[in-house]
Amino acid sequence: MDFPYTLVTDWPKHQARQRYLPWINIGIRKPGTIKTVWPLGLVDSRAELTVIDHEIGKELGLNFKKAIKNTITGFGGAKVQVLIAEVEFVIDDGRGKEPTVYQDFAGFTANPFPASHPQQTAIFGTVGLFRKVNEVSFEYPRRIHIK
Amino acid sequence: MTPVDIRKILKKHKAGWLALSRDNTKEIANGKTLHEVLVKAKAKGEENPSVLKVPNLNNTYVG
Repeated sequence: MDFPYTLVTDWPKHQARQRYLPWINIGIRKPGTIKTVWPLGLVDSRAELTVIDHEIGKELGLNFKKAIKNTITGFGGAKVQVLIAEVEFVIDDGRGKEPTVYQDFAGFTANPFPASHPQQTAIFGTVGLFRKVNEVSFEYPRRIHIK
Repeated sequence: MTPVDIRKILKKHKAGWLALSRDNTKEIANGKTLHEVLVKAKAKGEENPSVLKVPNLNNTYVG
């Protein structure tokens, strides 16, 4: 499966700058259901756990009563509370191939992502993506390849 | 593979949720909550849009 990089503009010191970011869509759904939400999230090989905005979990009707509560720490020490639940992931680049579907865990934020973080929707990490596929390669800024 | 350019879409928004076409080239709906944009997108015929929360691109991420 091949996904393009996403082109955005940021404003360091009020000067426009182009950035190519490895943001792709991966489908998320409650196991055993078909309703799927397709967040445009960051593919991040340094993230140990996939982290997803809490509104997506709510929209999918996930039951967090039995979820494992955890605190994750980012670079610089920022801490975020997450509720870890098992979900189904769907990888589909829309080019007609059979989607890759698997179950794994993801951490749903107890609150919105920290406002300072450039990605506010989802971060796809080792648990939830990298450990479930054979290969994730980055050909900057041409494509992200998942096998 | 050409990068998907979402600069014009993001330029119009400072906060909230966006529903985009599945190829991320067109904005379908915007709103304060994910549920709101999914309902709006469905009403416009897009059952499975791409969704994102408007990002804060004033910071650089190191993870």
